[in-house]
Amino acid sequence: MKGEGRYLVGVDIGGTFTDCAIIDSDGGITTGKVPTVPADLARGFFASIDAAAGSLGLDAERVLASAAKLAHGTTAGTNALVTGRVARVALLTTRGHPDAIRIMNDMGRALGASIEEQLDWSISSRPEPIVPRRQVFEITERVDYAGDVVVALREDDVEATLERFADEGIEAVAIAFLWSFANPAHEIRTRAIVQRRFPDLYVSCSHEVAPRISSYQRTTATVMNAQIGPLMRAYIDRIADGARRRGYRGPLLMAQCDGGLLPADAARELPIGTLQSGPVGGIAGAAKASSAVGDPDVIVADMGGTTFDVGAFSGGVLRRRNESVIERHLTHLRKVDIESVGAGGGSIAWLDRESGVLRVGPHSAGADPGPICYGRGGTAVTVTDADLVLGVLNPERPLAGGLRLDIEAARRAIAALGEQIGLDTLRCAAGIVEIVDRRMEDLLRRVTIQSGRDPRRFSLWAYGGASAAHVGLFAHGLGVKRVLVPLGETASVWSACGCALLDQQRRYETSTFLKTPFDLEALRAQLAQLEREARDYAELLGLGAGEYELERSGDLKYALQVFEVETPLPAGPVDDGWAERLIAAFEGAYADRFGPGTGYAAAGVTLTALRVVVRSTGRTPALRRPPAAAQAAPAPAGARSVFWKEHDAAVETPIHDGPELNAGARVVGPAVVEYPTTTVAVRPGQALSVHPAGHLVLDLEATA
Amino acid sequence: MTQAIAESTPARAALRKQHSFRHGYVPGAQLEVDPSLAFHTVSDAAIDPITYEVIRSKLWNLNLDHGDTIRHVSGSSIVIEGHDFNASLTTELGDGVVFGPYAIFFAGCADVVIKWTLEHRSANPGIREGDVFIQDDPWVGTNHQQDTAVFAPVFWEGRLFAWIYNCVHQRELGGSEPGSFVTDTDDCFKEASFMPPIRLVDEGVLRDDILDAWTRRSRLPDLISLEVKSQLAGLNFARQRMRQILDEYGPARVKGAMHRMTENTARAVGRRLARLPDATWRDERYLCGAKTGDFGLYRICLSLIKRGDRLTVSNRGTAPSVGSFNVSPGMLRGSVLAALFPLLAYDQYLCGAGLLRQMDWEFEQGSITSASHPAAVSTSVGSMAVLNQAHYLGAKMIAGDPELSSRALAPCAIHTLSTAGLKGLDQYGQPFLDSPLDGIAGGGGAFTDRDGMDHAGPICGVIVPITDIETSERKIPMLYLYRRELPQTGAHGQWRGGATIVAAWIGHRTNAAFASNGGLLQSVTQGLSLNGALPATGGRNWYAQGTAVQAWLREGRVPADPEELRAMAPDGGMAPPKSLDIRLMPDDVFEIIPNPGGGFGDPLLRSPELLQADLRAGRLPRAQAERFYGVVLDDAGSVDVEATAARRQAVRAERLAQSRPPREPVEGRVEPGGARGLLAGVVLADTAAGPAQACRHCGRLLATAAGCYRLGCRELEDDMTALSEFHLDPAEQAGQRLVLRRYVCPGCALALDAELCRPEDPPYVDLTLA
Repeated sequence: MKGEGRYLVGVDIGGTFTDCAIIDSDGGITTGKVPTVPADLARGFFASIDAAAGSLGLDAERVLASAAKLAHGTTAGTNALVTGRVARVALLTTRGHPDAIRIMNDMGRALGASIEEQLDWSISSRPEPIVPRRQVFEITERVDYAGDVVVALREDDVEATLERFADEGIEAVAIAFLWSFANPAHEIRTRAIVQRRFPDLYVSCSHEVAPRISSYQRTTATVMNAQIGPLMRAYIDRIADGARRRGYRGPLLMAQCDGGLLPADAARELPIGTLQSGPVGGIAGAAKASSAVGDPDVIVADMGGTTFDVGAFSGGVLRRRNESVIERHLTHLRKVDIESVGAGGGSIAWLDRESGVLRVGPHSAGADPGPICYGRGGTAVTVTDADLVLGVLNPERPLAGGLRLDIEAARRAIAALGEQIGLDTLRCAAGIVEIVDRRMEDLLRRVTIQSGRDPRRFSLWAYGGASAAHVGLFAHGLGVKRVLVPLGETASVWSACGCALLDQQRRYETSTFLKTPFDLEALRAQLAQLEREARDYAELLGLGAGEYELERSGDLKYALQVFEVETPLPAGPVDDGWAERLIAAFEGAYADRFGPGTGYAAAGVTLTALRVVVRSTGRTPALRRPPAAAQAAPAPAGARSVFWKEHDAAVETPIHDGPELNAGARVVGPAVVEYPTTTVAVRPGQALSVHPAGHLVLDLEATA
Repeated sequence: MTQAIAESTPARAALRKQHSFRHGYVPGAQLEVDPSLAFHTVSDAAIDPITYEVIRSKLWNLNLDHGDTIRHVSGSSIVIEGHDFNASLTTELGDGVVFGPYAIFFAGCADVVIKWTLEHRSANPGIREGDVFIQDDPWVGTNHQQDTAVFAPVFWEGRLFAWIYNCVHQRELGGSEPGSFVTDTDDCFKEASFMPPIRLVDEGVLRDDILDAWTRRSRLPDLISLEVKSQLAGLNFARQRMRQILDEYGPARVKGAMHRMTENTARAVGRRLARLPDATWRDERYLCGAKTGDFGLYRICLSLIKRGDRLTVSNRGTAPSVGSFNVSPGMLRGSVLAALFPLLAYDQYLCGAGLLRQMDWEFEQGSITSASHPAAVSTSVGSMAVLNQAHYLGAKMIAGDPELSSRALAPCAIHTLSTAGLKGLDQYGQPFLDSPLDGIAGGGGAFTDRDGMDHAGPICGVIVPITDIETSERKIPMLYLYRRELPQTGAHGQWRGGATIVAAWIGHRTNAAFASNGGLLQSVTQGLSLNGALPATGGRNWYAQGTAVQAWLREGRVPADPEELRAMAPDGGMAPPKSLDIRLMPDDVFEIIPNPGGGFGDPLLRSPELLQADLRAGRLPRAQAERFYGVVLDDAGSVDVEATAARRQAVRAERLAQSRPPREPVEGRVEPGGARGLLAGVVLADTAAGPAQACRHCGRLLATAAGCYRLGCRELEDDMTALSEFHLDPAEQAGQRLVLRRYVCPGCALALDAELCRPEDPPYVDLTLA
């Protein structure tokens, strides 16, 4: 966790691009963006550092040699799960319980399905089981909820199972027994038997991957960890080796979806934590950077090509959830709370002939074939096509990677669509944007309200490739305090930037079930055990006192209600007074989250989980990307015809070259501000100003 | 068809109210409302398509937020995990333009509750801005007493613009059984008392007297108070958000969008109905299990009468209400509506008003499915049965149409509702009453072109999960021996039903625990399949007491499936039905098999490739493959395609030889291709003598256009136990002999339809052309 170097380096590998952000000790940022190299992700990784380093007049070696931190968020694990290119896993379960992953507690039809798929059974489906039945093996053993052994482990069962591994071509093993988190002895012993016979096999145990109650979710987490384990181990090693060869002296740190960084050697054993780490890097980075901007309460909106990710935090504190849906399976994957919907530049506009209504989504053209204007064979009208036809996107400016846009093809398709509902081309395009942006506005509202917040208290940070072109519309009805595109051009590589800002952290947790009045002796013992493990880990990393902190929390719920609320544990010795303070804190947190008077206290309170997070305490530099230009109010670089629905007409609109805008510059809408990888639409009645640190601040109600 | 508003007079209103309290409220062609109430009726009919779509989406999201607010505030497991609630936004006349993706049968009750309130509360105490009403009267319109509706008018400039409505299953409202499901009763007086719409909030002020009256009857009054408050919070949120939308878009455009949503749905549903021939599709079937100790068979009947683009629903012929499994007329409406959404309005975002606009109703007063006061209605058993019946019949109706048939699917989980739960003293020494919900697990019905989904859950809601094993074991003194898939359970057919599970429990760390075995009698399955497929089992609950299971476990032996369990406990048997106190101590075992999905099409038509896959995956025992599918396997255990084809011809010949001749034989044959579908297996063909009903497979004539094809079919009868080890014998369980009767084409010997009936029952007429 220590580092004397000058640079914080973050690299985020996405499906299309690999982004790098280099932050120097003064908070200055340099970015690089290169196409992802699917066949050799490590090559793209270092190419992106080269690209960013080049802007500093350096190369990757020079930067890495003086880097204090090299942090990495990746979709490699996610992609492996999406494409099914994963290790062939044997799942070992408690005898009598082989089918939790098939039965899915009867939720399979709805998990991860759109509302349209849920309502129309003819397009409804269930996901394939994550492991086929022939790779599931039942082991005789049984532990009960209290951790007591009801049936001893039959080691001969395990031995007999191993005989079948060769026939099935088993490449990794997931062991997920009932109640293993209450008593892991059988899983540990089973692993030892497996490893004695197959020392090189990747083995995941459920009590380590996801020590939480609910066998279905724990099993899926353990299986997914094993499925991507061999691949991620090799992947992480390759990048760590490459970094070392290029002179980096610290540990490669892998971004985790719970919002922290884990050193490579720990991350390779728990690769499931890297799933969805990209979007989390974005919001976690925003949480880190927000205080410097004076924005402690922020809603983040990340609009890309295929997904729209939304999250919120208050006081810079992220909220986590303990379950995630991955590829339509519910799993115990603790992650920063982000809502993700399939809406973005690639969302498809279509005519519902039954009702004569224009609809947008839920289907997406994705990155391939992508929008019609990409000229890669896409035939369905997308939001990006509409942006281009409206004039918001510049038809002359190629996308990163050199792709040229075909505006004529987009125009023809939108004209044909509009004709069917009596709208001309421009109004149809504006309608498509209006529909998708209003839906995003609603989603933003839902996410803030669901977390018990009022959007009017929040700022909105918009980043990701498509956000800046749309934020003026989707922020409109929310009533947020202000809208900010963090560090302007950096917005398109914000996740990489966020990665670089994260702290190292590791979580130790245990599932428990203590009703009030709490059994304080049991509580003390469980907590002491977790703290011991956490301190041991800090010691292993060579951290001295003052270089790390322990964050202790518990999940509590009212006995007759459902919602668990994560509550910080009080300081001091665990005694009656401590328990009272804990319950008071829980009641406060519950009321804060769900409103005053929403808890039913008469039936008591239950503690369901204890957690100790060890976190390095490093300084976060105040980020800035000060504009280079000298002119505060430069003249527009040009003009083009842009359709604004506010005018119900296409008007000749000034186009500004973003990098030419200096701090304090103010651009009054209608206008378009173009950066190499980001386009900002400044709508009529709105104004854009440049913050001294380089953020773009959109004033939604500017008077011209 | 928009409802007219008429002025009410006190005398007429009193009569109408009395009638609704006795026989259930059904809105008439016009609403009689006190003239003091002014309606906002201005509506922009020419709203542009973009604004329409934006407002539609906003109203959908407003309603989701409404639901989320209720979930957050109540924290109730029934609401959050069971999804047993719903929220709605309606027009000023109570027509629901949007419902949430939760318990959908609430959609068919919301409008009647609001219309009743308009008719009977507009004069006294009046309906004013800031008021909120609460009600749980099943005869005004809820499923059972626990389902509590809380609803509020939204005014714009002094005129009633809309209503915000929600309905939540409140956990405990009194009555003779904790939880308010009362099985052992003949009338509603042992059930929770109930209240017609009363004003809970008076122009913005919550009335403590009313809230106390509401909660006082509960065993958990504070909890019920919280649930009411969650519903109020939902209303307040939705009302506030509605104001913002009205401010932004103006009332005329919002109302225009609301009307357009209804019109679009009505048009879509009407167009779909218009595709179908004018005809009446009818279902008659037996239910068994009216109350504890009752083994009678009771007939429930449903007709879908289609004329032009409209549909009339009638339950004429249904037996008089009996025991505790009855349904109020409002809930019949709600159940039918929930069943028809996925068949006719699958793409209309739950706009109930649009679907209802195309529908008319006829009720058999005082029957099981339109019970009159004071019948007992609290158990929900009848509601799920009639929902399943309506879904089955609706699917049958559309399965003959080439466009609509893709939405048809056979019965899904909970077709034969079984409610197994536990009670006693838990492992912490506290009294408990809980259920792991295994009984509601189950498969999805077969589609007309693919197999049903395993573990798909029921049709009555979007997501109805069962509890995770560990979660149950932590709060209930039980230990699962197994919960596994039973891959072979999906009903047999050309397309098979989805599989269900089997679970076995023993008592664990308890001094007193009992299992209950409620719901319908499983031997009288409601899982009838479509188009000649074989019925799904109604489930099988089994128990054994005083077994050697603890010794087995100590010795490291775990009975891990039904076969091993039978080996360990050879003396076990069927669990006594409708019994609430089956001992479940550590030596006792209770095993439950809930409902798999129904099938579609004659099994002889299932492709050899699929059968091969079934056999490989353990989804089909070899004996059943041979018996029902005519499969012949080669020495390597693979399907021998040629031999199978030959064997299937032989099976057809055997069917013709073994079946009863047609009751009204018809001769002749037509070319069935291109003829209009009446059912999946029956078409209306032109002949020299005029149109006639014919077999879709072979063109064999079965009846005149005015007749019924069933009477021209041969009848093949089997005992249910012949179908699989999971099918129970009604004679053994209920002392009633019932047979599976299949109607077989005398030409090609393929089954065209099936029913479960007494041997002496004549065929009922399931299809009548207009």
